[in-house]
Parts: sequence; C-alpha cells; structure tokens
Amino acid sequence: MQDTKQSLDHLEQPAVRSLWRMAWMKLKKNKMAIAGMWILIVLHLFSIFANFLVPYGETTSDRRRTYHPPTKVHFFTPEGKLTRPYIYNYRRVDAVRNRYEPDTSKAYPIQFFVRGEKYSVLGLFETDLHLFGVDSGAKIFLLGADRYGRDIFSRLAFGGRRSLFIGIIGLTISLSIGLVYGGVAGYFGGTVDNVMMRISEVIISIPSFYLLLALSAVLPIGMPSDLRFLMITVILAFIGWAGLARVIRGMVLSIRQSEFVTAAQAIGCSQFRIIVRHILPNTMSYVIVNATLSIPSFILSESGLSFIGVGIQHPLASWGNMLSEALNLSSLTRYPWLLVPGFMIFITVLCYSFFGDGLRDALDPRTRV
Amino acid sequence: MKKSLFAFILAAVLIISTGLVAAADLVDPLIVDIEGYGGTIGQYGGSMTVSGGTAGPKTFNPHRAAETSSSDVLGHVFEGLVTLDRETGQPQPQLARSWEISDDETEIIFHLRRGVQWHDGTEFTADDVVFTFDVIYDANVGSNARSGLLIDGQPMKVEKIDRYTVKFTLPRPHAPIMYSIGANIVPYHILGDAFEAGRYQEMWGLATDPREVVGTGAWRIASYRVDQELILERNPNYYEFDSAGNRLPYLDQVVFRYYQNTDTSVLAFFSGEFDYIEIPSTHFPEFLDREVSSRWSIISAGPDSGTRFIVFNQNPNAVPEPKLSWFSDVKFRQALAHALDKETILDMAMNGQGYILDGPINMRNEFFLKKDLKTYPYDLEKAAALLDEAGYRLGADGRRRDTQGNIIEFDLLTGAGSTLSQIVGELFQEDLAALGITLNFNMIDFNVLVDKLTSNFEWDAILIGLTGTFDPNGGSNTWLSSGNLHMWNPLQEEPYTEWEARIDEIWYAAQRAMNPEVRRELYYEFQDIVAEQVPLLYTVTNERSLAVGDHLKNGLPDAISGSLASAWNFIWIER
Repeated sequence: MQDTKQSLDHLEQPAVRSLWRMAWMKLKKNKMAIAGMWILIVLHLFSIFANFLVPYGETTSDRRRTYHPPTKVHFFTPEGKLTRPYIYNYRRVDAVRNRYEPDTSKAYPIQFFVRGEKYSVLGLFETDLHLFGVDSGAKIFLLGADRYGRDIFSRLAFGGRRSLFIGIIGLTISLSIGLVYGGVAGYFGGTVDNVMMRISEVIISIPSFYLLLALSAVLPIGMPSDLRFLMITVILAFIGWAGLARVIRGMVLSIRQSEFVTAAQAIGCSQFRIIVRHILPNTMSYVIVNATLSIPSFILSESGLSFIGVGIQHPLASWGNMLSEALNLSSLTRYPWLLVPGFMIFITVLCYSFFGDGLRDALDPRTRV
Repeated sequence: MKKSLFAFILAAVLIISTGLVAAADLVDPLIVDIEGYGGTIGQYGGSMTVSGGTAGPKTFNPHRAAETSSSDVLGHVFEGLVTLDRETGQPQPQLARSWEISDDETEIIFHLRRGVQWHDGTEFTADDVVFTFDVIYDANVGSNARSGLLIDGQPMKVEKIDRYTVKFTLPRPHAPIMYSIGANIVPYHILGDAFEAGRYQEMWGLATDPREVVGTGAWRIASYRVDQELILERNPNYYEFDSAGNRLPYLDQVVFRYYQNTDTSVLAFFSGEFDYIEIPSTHFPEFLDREVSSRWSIISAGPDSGTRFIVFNQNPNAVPEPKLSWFSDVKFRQALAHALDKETILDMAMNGQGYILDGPINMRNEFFLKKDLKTYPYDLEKAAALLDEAGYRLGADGRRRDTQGNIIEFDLLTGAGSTLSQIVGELFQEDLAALGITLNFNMIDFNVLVDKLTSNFEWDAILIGLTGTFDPNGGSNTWLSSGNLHMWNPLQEEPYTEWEARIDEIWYAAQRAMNPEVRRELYYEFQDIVAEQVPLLYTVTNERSLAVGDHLKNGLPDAISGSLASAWNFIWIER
C-alpha cells in the first residue's frame, strides 16, 4: 500500500516539473510580463529595506521646509567638470507662495553609507547606517517634501510596506479560505455544495466598501494604526474569498470525475488528502493567475480607504493617504510632486496586470512553446 | 469725460425726480454717507454674482434659520430696528429712526421710521415690532435671536405706544441689549394668523414661492433653485438714499451661486463668473500669482472674528479618572499650551495669512482687546519642565506618567473636512509625542462632534471653532458657568471653581455697566483670568482677504466683520 502510493507520487513529479519549466520558458518570451515582474521585485525590495535605502525616517518632519520642491542633484561643477554628485541647500524665499531657491554658496556632496537616524533591523539590533545622505545643514528631498516637510521619497518606501503588502497578506488569507472552501464544496457536491454556495453568495453580495466605511468608524480611536491596518486587511480578505471559492468549486466538480481521483479513492486515500494533494494542485494555474490579478484590487481598496481618511492614519504613510494631500486643486497645481504616490499605485497595478496576463498565457496548456 | 459727467447728472436728476414721486409716503428716509465710508456716488443698473458657499438657504423664515447659509441671504431681505455701524460696531438707526433710554436704564422707546413699505406695499408699523418679539420669545419657534434677548431668563415687555412708537421695558439694566435688539422684523399682516394658530414654524419654508417672502430690506428674493442659484432683486421702494438723493441700492440684482466644493468656486471666480469672492486661505498663493495679470484686486480685510481652539473636558460627571485630574489641573493645561506651535500652523494652514490668537475677545474689537495678556509661546522644553514640575514625569520607556503611574494618553476629536483642524491636530499630536504623551487624533463627522460636545459629553479633548460676535457679551453661552457652550463643564448650577465664579460675576457686572470704560476694565480682568486658567487653547485665525473685480465700485469691506455684504446697498458697476 505504502509502496504504491510512493510510486504514484513519484510518477507525478516529472510531469509537474516539466509543466513549470515550460511555463517559465513561455513567460520569459513575454517581455512585458518580465519587465513587470522585475519592477515589482524592485518595488518590494525598496519597501522591505526602506530603513537602509532612504535617507530619512517615516515620520521625520522639518516644519520649516513645508512643500519643499524636489532637490536637484548636480553631476557637474559650475565650471562644467564632471564631479561626484552634490546638492545645494534650499532656502525659502517666499513664505506666502512657499517658493524655495537653492543656496549656491555651499555644495553638499551626496555621501554614501552615512550615519543617520537610528532604526532597528527585525528587532534584532539597532543601526544608523543609510545608503545615502548629506551632511546636516542641508536636506536631500529627491521627490520633494509634503506639507509637514517630510521626505516623499522616504515615505514612499515606508508607505509601500503597507500599500504593497496589504495585497499579499490579504491574498494569503482569502486564498486559503477560498481554496479549502471551494475544494470541499466541489468535492462533496450535493446538499453540502448547495448550502456552502448559498453562504458564499451571501458574502459576495455584501457591499464591501460601505462595510469597510462602517467598520473603520467603529474601530476604537486609540487603536494603533498598524493594528488598524491589519484589521482592515483581514476584513478585506474575509469578504474577498467567496468569488474565488466559487470558481475553485466549479473546477473541482469536473476534476473529481477524473481517473486519477477515482484511482486515489480506490487505493483508500483520505478525502482530505485527495482534495489537497490530488485535486487542488490541478487548479493551481488558475489560482496563481487569479492571485496575481487580484492583488491590485487590494492595493486599490487600501488606497481608496486611506485617501478618504479611514484607512492608514497620519502620521504613518501609505500611498493612499499620501495621495490625499494632493486632493485640492491648489496643491495639485503648485506642488505636483505630491502626485508621485498616485504614480506608484498606477505602476504597481499595471505591473501586476502585465505579469498576471503573462502568467496566464504561460500556464495555459493549450499554448505551446 | 465731460459728456459722461453731464449724462450722469442728467440721469441722477431724472432718478431723483421719479424716486420722489414713488417715495411720496416716505417721511423718514435714511441717508447713507457713502463718501464718509470712502466710497463714491454710483450709477444704476447691473447684476452682481457672488459665491454663496457650498449650500443655499434651508428656509426663508428668518426666525427658523439656524445656519449661516440661510441667514446670509435673509439678512438682506429682513432688517432690525437698529443695526451695527459698519465702522464703529455701535448701534445705529435702521427701521427705528431714533430711540431714547430712560434714566433708570430700564425703558427704551423706539421711534419708527414712517412710511417704510414691506415688499408687498403694506406699511411697516409698531404692530410688526410687537408681533416679531412675540414670535422670538415663543420657545416653540426656536428663534436664534431668543437667547440674546432674554435678560436673566426674562423677556422684555414690548408695547405699542402709537403707530410709530414702541416701548421696551427691561427687567433690569442690561448694557449689551442694544447689540442684540436689532433682530429681523417680520410682517404681522402676513404671518400673524399663522402664529396665532401655532403654525409659525411651517411658514416660509423652501416650498413657498419666494415672491411671497416679504421683508423691508433693500433686496427681495426673485427665485431660488435649491443649492444651485438664488437671485435677489432690488427693492424699488427702499428707504435708503445716497447723499445726492439717489434711492439705493444701485444694482438691479444680486445672484448667489452655490458649488459643492471650494475649488470649484475658486475656478468659477477665475473664469469670471463671480464679481468678487472671499479668498480661502489655502488658495491665497494662487490669487497672488494671478493678480498681476487680472481684472481684479486683492483686498485685505483684517482678522476673521472666528476663533479655533482645543478644549479639555473637565466635566466631573462625564470624564473618568485619571483623565479628569489631568484636565482639571491648570499646570497640565498651561504646559500643553506651550506645545502648540501656532507659528507653524499659521504658515502651513494659511500661508502666513493670519493671526495668532491668545484670548477670547474678537480681534476686530480693538476697544475690548487686551494687548499685554499672558501668552504661551511654543517651547517644548518649557512644556516638559512644567510637566515635570507638576508631577507628570517621563518614564524610561519614553512615556509620561502622572503621580499615580498612569500613562498619559487621550483622544483629540475634530470635525472632518477642515484642513486647518487637520494641521493643528497633527502638529499637536507630533509635539505631544515628543513630550511622551500619546494623543489619538481623529476627525469625525461634524454633527457627531457637536452632539458629543453638547449632549453626551463623552470626549477627552475637542478641537473646534466658534464664530465671533462683535460685542464680548455675545460669548455668554460659552463663558457663563451655566452656559450650554461652557464646553469644558457645561450647564453648571453653581460655579464649580473659583475662577469660573469670578468670570460669572464679571459677566453680570459688565452687563449692568452702561459706561464702556467700566465694561472694558471688567473684560480686561476676564481676559487675564482666561489667559491664566487656559480652559481653551487658542490657535490661530485667518486674515480675511477678498478678491474684488475692478469694475465693482464701493467694494468696501466693513470694519466689524471684514465682509462685503454690508456694502451691497451702495456697490455699483462701472460700465
């Protein structure tokens, strides 16, 4: 008995491996998908290593530098000679219009691996090493500063932690629920299926945005912002799984008629094992594509909620609440760099779409290399 | 030039002569000294379009109007016996041509202007005045004017002496009464029956044809599309004249347009839709940039009379310990006052176009405003030192605790939608964090906020604003310990603390004192007490700036509020 099972597993393995290899070869041919993938990897790494990669902390503000424009980085000396990159300090020359001008009397070279603000790495040890920075006396704002004089470049990295990973966390939750729920419903069929699908329909019909609005209103005021963020993610995930479960259930319904399922039943595999080991892996290609394509919806939900002020709360950053500073016409026309977070959301969603499309084509067994 | 001057004189002569025919019954015209205000004699005609804000009137009934969107319009349709002078803020004749105050200061006799017509042609008389005060004093009507006209909770006796004379009898001398007595007079011949039948509240809602809304003012409502556009047209029988004998107002009509959002109003102004606009302070730089190449100019009209402040809840029936002990500790409040960075608030929220507020008196009322008050400049080190001294010490974990070891953490609430409030709250949060105090700042629906403030009392700290009145006595419901807007501990039966008792005494003494100098001394002491006790942490107020089209003449903001509305009667358009 034991031997038969092992050999069955053994038989399956090479087929699976070659399927993945084929998919990867197909994916590699899709330039857009690969470009999307690399951009996403860079963005995620940028956020994960934010502390090291950016010069300032998430909430570090400089009240005398409200709406500081992006600092211009110079590569040539005034005489036109190539030199190490340097910046000038900016001084506010018009307080009413928030107009800044570079003070060209002193050049501040950009230093690499400098000491700056302290941060802790995974809670293990503290360090103050930053990839780049300038001497105190000047500030380097690569993408300008917001109203409170906080570096937008730095906040983009920290905000990305929330905006990017909300999708991954939320997806993990909704995928696990959706897979198991859809698998069970499809495998057992009949009354079980009927009841479970009606429940999922109820969940699908909940207007999620309004539910979130209501929920964020009742979350206690003193709740730490990060916990609040996690709550919102979990809530998003708990109402997001039902659509996936329905598709999985349909696939399982057809897969369970296959010979290998009958075979597994014949040799006495437990039902749970049949669902998890034999049926669900066959839905993988669909699940992966679906996952990639639904991450953007999580990102957009978070941005939307933070934009209207019920998501991530000040002073913590997320791309949505950073973008909400550009809400009025005046800041939009005068301080266009406030729109950068919106651009980041745009890029991320676009990359996920390209990558997801590429994956779908790659995993489709009907296309050949 | 000469030709146009001749035409102008000719037109003026013609108008005077026609005007005189129509005004045959008017015995007591009101001559407006436009030149005295720095204006010029105008020409007739034209229409002016103004921004009405985000929403229009909710009612046409002046004693049912509870919000400025209604009273802004109805203030042009209805008038009071007296009005406040646009420069001095002192009571001056309007529907009353003069008045006498008895020696014991408990009787005021008003002589009404004879021959004034309601918009439907009926003559305005003493009956209308007596009727109006009946309406105001009827608690079921819920008029906004009521609380200001009660003296120790007692109404005044209002009697008709003859067709043009009314006598008011006060329960005791009350100096500020002349500032509130100019409530809008409503017509007895139209509303009288409804009032007697107990149906006054139903009258003149938005379903009423605006032409049936009859006042005595310079303007009457021609049409209203709810929350979109309201048109006021000139009252051709108005009793005000300029010094050249021309009947006012000059303009044919004034159009209010409403836009959901301030940005849209600003764009509408830039595209030439509005003849003038009050500049939202966040938009000031744009106006400054565009002014050079535009056909309008920016006028500065002084500080806004409104105040904005943070208040800590000291209500012993609503706030649990240990928060109550912190908030009722004057040292705690003083220390936190030092943590409010008003300069930065001014800079970030108003582009520097504003004023730092240090006390409760309307900044426009220079007579009562005390200059050398105790102030709390932004100084986090001093704040930390004061907190240490009072026993609120910083722990090793970077959090501050009171003497019992409770971590200091509380909530600050404010109404959603105001950029200023957001900035104040967020900066305060950041500064308190630097002091080791956790402040949970949240913006909630404004109505929920007001509900918390006035009825369920369950809050720690609130950031809110009040619109100012010119005379200090207008702040009665805030400063008297029995007031409903005595926010930190409202509706007290007996003053809870010594300083609140002293403010009550000052307040009543100032109401009895007819001599302005004496009142000033009393209000000076009041300001000192408030500065010492800091029940409210005052923030900033904005500069009122207007962008006025160059074709608009006599666009003179008044001294008491900085608004252009009181100049409408003599604004004219140059062709």
